[in-house]
Amino acid sequence: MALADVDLEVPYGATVAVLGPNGSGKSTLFASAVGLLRPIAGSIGVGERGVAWLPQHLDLSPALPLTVSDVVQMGRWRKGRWLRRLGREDRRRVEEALEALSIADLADRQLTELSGGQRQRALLAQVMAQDAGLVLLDEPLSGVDHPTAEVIAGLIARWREQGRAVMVATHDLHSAAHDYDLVLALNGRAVAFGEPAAVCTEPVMRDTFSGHLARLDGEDIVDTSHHHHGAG
Amino acid sequence: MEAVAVLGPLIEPFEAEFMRTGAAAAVIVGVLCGSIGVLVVIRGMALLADSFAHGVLPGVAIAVLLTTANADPSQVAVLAGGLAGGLVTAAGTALIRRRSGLSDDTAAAVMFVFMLALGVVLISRVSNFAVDLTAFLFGDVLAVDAGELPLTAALAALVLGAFALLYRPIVLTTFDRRRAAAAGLPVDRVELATMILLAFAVVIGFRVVGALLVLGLLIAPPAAAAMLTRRLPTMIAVSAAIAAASGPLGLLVSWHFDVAAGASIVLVAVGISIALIAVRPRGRLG
Repeated sequence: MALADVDLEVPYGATVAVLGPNGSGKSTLFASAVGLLRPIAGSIGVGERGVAWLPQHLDLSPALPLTVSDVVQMGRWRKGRWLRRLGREDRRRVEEALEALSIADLADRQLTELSGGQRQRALLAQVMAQDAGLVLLDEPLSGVDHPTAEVIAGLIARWREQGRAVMVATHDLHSAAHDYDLVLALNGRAVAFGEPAAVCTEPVMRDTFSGHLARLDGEDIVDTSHHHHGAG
Repeated sequence: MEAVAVLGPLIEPFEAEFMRTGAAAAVIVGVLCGSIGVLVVIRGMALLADSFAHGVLPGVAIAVLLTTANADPSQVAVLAGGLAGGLVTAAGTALIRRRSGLSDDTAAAVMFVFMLALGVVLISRVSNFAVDLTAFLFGDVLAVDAGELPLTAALAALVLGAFALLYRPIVLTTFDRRRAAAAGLPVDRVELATMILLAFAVVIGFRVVGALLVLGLLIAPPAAAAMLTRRLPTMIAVSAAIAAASGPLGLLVSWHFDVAAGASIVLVAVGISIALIAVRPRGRLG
């Protein structure tokens, strides 16, 4: 079993850092939230405002021709509207997302031709266009350039202000302790869930990262597990 | 008169009714396979398409065995049998893969070789009837009865209609199944529906170009279209047009050079594709 004993409620308008080593169940939790995996026991529910998910890796088919604009427009495709033409509101949301991620000039470029950072921005614009109440970002900062990382931080703050719930899977203990309202520590189960001050303690982190902790400068402890390759 | 002299070789062959009927059937199948073939290319399902094509054989053979008393086999039964054969192949492939842990292509190959051999064995059993192996494997577009056209057209329209209805769910699932699930899509069912659309296209197409060559109509036109456009809807339209045009053009080749009709159609489709890949006029159509 990839994940057990998780019991939590995430309120709208809160940001949650989901901390844990590779294989701790972060992606499993997100996959369950969108209904891709069904829990063997228990239940998982997402509010009526829907869920948007930025997966960690995208296996892009090089044979699927899609422009950045196509990708962002797909954010407006949703249940019950599979046949409807995109309307004015949809186009406004798409424009807004392209502007917010500063990729309006890339709108007609093929997704497969973009750099890693540009591609991540296009996918984030799609997430933004979805206008969902719950946003799941799986390691959004892995492999992106510094400006893109800043844009992502800005987006998370903006979504929080707009009253969305944002859950971010991350390895960054420092960021989890300082930049989020709540922290969920996972290690195959929920080790702890609550405010950073209560969760980001050395005993909890030891429990969460077991053998993968290193101490830097006698102050910060960091997760070293992500230096090994493996499923998140 | 000059126009007639030039156009004569292009028009005269179609004065024969079997050529007109064959051309009509080839155009219908071309539009269908050209459109659905885009799914094969963007999802990388060529091997699956090929195994469907082999899988139709035993299904068709059984349908013929069951419905041929004294008369010709029922076309509806042939279609149903072919479809069932295709779906059994898909299910068998999935089962082998799951139980053996072998890779996709090995599982598919085991299953379709089995179905091909089974088909040939069954067909050899019924060969005293109005069926022959060559027609199964290479199609018999010139033997298509004008009375079959409405059924073929109706089925093709049904499949294309379903494709249009499912266009966004299929594209979204192809793009990223996790993203599709987040949008509320039952991705497993969307993928199953995609396979069923493909099975239908193969079964409807094999009558015209045969089980071995139907893959040509599914792959070559989308590959050619991909050289001309980077927009998915345009790619589908261009692919359908190329596949449809290959029908009558292939029949002309077949008529003037006295060569096999189904194979000529596929040769034209693949020829267009190879020519465009060689030239690579990428993005000209926007």
